[in-house]
Amino acid sequence: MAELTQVLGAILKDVAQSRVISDLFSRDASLQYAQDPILVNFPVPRVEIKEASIQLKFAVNAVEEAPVDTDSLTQAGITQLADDLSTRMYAVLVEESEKREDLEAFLEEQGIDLPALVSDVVVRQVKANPQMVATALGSKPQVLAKKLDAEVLNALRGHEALWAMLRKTTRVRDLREQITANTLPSVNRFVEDVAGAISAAGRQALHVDVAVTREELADLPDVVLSHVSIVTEIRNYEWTEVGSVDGKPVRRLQPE
Amino acid sequence: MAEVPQPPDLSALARFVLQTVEVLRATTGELASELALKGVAIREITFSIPYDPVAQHLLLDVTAGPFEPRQLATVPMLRLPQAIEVLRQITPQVVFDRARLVQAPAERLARLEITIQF
Repeated sequence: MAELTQVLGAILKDVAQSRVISDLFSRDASLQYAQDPILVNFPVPRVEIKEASIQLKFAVNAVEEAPVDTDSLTQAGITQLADDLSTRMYAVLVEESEKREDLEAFLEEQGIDLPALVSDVVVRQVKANPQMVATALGSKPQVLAKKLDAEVLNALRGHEALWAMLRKTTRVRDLREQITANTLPSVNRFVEDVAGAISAAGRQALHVDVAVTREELADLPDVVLSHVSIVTEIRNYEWTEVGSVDGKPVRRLQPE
Repeated sequence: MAEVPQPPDLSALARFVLQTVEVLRATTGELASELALKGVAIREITFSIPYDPVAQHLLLDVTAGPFEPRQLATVPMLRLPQAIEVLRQITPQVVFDRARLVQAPAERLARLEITIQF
């Protein structure tokens, strides 16, 4: 059993290693040149490997693909979206308000859990509109964001005492703008998280076993053989200081 | 190294190509620190992979015919986002393991030809 990346990765490592061997040869040669009264005036020979191409034939032995449970990954994303949006809404409607203390006292007195209220709306609406979720994941998150804008606002309006209190502290237009400004970033993050999780699960679920040796490929007709070719550039890297943490310099490898 | 995006609706063949690209680019990024500051950067990678476009999950006779000869696709060098768009056009039902390929009539086989440039 071999995966194509294992085979190619090993070859790429050998390509880089060849440049190291060439540098080590130059080092040894330079020491010898330095000790010789005539050669000391000659330049030290050096092989510069700047580019390498790899071509490999292979055949796909087997493709194993486990199903990806996109529903459960989306569900996990919905929970995260509800938490994120309710935290943002509480921050913008209460914590950042000039009347923060009054609002907090009101919510406590009335027993209103504002984050839970927003969270419930988000979960309910997202679950009730799978098509909008699919559209959002298909790179159009605006439709879902707009729906959540409207539904969060409706939920706040539907709570008579809460709505009256919010209107005392903020104009309706400003409330609407605050909600809109926070919904799209949350939905964008939801889309990014779910798409990332599905993509990562897909990577783990797919295994392609390949044959690469002459013996394995000998009896196969050309029509079923695959080819991969890679053009590489060999670079020197150097340690560069990119900042500091706790007074100690942080260094990273950067191409020269 | 940023991950290569793999939309969930891609075929196994498309994902195989993108995964290979992603893993190799990550591997080359790690080589510099391992190998006395010598690194390998991939400039371009070309795949030529035969596949059978027959529906994988339909109970079709893979030896049935007749079939029109297929044109081999010729794809110019692409950047990664364009390559993903080309790979997206491969239907999820294609098969590309050799056991199925040798059973299928040669005229029916197609070949993915793609070069991705970085």
